[in-house]
Amino acid sequence: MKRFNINELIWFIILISFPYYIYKLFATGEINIYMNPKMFKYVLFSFCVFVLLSIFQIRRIFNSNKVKKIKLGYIIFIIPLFLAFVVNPDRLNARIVSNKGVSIVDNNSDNRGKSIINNNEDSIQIDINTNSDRINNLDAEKFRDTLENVYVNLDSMMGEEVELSGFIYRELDFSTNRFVISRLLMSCCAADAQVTGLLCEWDEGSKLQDNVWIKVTGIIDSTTHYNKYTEKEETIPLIKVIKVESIKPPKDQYIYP
Amino acid sequence: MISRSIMNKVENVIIFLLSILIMIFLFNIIINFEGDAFSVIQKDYLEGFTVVFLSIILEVIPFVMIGTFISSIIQIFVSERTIVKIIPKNRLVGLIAASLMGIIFPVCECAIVPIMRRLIKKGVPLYIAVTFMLAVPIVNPVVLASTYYAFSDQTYMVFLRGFLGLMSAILIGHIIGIIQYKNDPLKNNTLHEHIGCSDEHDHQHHHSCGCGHHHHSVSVSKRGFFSKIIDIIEHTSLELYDVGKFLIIGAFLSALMQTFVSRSYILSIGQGKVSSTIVMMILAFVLSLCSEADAFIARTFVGQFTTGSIVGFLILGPMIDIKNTLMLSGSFKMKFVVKLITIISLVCFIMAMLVNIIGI
Repeated sequence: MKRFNINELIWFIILISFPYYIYKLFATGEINIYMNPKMFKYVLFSFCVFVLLSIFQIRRIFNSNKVKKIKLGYIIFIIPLFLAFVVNPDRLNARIVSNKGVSIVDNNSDNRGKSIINNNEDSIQIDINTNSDRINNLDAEKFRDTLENVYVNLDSMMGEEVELSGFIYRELDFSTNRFVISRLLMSCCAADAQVTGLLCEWDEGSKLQDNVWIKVTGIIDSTTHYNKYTEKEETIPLIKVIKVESIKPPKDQYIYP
Repeated sequence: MISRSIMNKVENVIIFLLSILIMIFLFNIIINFEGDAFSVIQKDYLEGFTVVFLSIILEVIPFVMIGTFISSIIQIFVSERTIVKIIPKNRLVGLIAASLMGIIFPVCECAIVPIMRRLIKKGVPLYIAVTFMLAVPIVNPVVLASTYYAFSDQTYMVFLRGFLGLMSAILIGHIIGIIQYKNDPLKNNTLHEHIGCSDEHDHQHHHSCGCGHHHHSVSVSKRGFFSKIIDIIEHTSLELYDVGKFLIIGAFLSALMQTFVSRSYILSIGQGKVSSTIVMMILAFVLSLCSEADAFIARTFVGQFTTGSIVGFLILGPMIDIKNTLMLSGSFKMKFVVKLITIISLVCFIMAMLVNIIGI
């Protein structure tokens, strides 16, 4: 029997496990939990490099003439693989993401001056989106566009009716009939995902449970919100809810900027 | 060798700490099988942590691969002599040239550490290598474009980021060049690729691929193209191991911070001009975001924080963060890494405060 190098063998197993894991992510569609679709090409690139490196690694497994102490550094590479296969998460929980900050306050006060220009651009954008065949994403895109529109053109949109679907998120200092209809906004990967949404008010709001997916219909209104960072009262949009429907969580939970 | 045994000890300590963490996670998994309300929360945290941890790795690994690949190409195709010829003799010209490299060399901060390490090993002066490492992830068409996209209504942020990032990188490179004039910042045990078969591991490595890497610069022209390709690939594989382990620890720590330390807690620490800048810089360091994505995060702070502190976030983040610190500490002396981080933080802080004082 030919002697083989245990170190090189372990490295080969690690090298081949990564592309297997990436393959699994794409095959099950779980990759959507981790990445913005625009990053997929990079992940596929790393898949190819891993496969290439593994192929060249095979040669080296049988290339040794000495028995070596096993390099402990390999344990570090096993940690992510271990977590990936054992924990195997199926979603990113909003409770964790909310740890990273929630935006329900209009962050760009400069925006308001430009409301008319932006309004035109946005409405054109929405038209293009409806015409495109990306129907699956339509819901998420509609959420994003509505959100942007409402933040930017709050004054002119007062009293209009909107329909949004998202999950329920609450902060501790909310009064009981208020909640945020929210989505996770991801610009690159899950590490930068954050909760974003619109504040809602519904008389029976206290009956709704956190993290449940719903569709709300309501009228746009405004309220003041005490911003504890700038220590100022700010005007933010508020949806006076007329109707709530419970829905199934969509396949693609995120919205992308 | 003494340094090697110290290195082994450090590695053992790291592994010990990590195995404790793994034990905690295993414990969590066992608890989860009992299925009461308390453990549901535990499970949420474990899953959240895993998603963030793996997503950082998945996102960063392609760029680290590009970095190690470019580094391997430099190792095998570019000789020390060529590098000496290319580097401008004038210090200022050299610094400015290094800082503008990003325009033709668009890699983000995850890929830059292996390349910079290789350049230093190839004899590039330290101040140029440092400026190169710090400036490229900021002065980079891709990063500036994403900044423009994120701050579409405040285009001056793009100029502030680009210009101040450039200035800081040059300044930091210059200071490092003065401070670290004589000392070699690299760890001794990483010098082996020049010296040759100085320890057992490399001995085995060099012979297993048929030819020591220290021969390459001499014999590269005589060898076939295919064997050069094999060299590059095997080199990439080795460097991926070297850099990858520190990347994973960095991602681990960053994910830990993101999952268990609430951002609003960090933000509640400081709201003044000085304290907000410090808080934003700490946040940039802790979050370890890719420089292409951090502008979108920075945007969410507009209105809550001063412009200066957001500029601090935007220029410090690409220069240094948890994962970069760990990747650096894999090949540089701890003392040098600490010095570098201190100087980077000070310079970025001054730049951010300047913006605050001028009051844009």
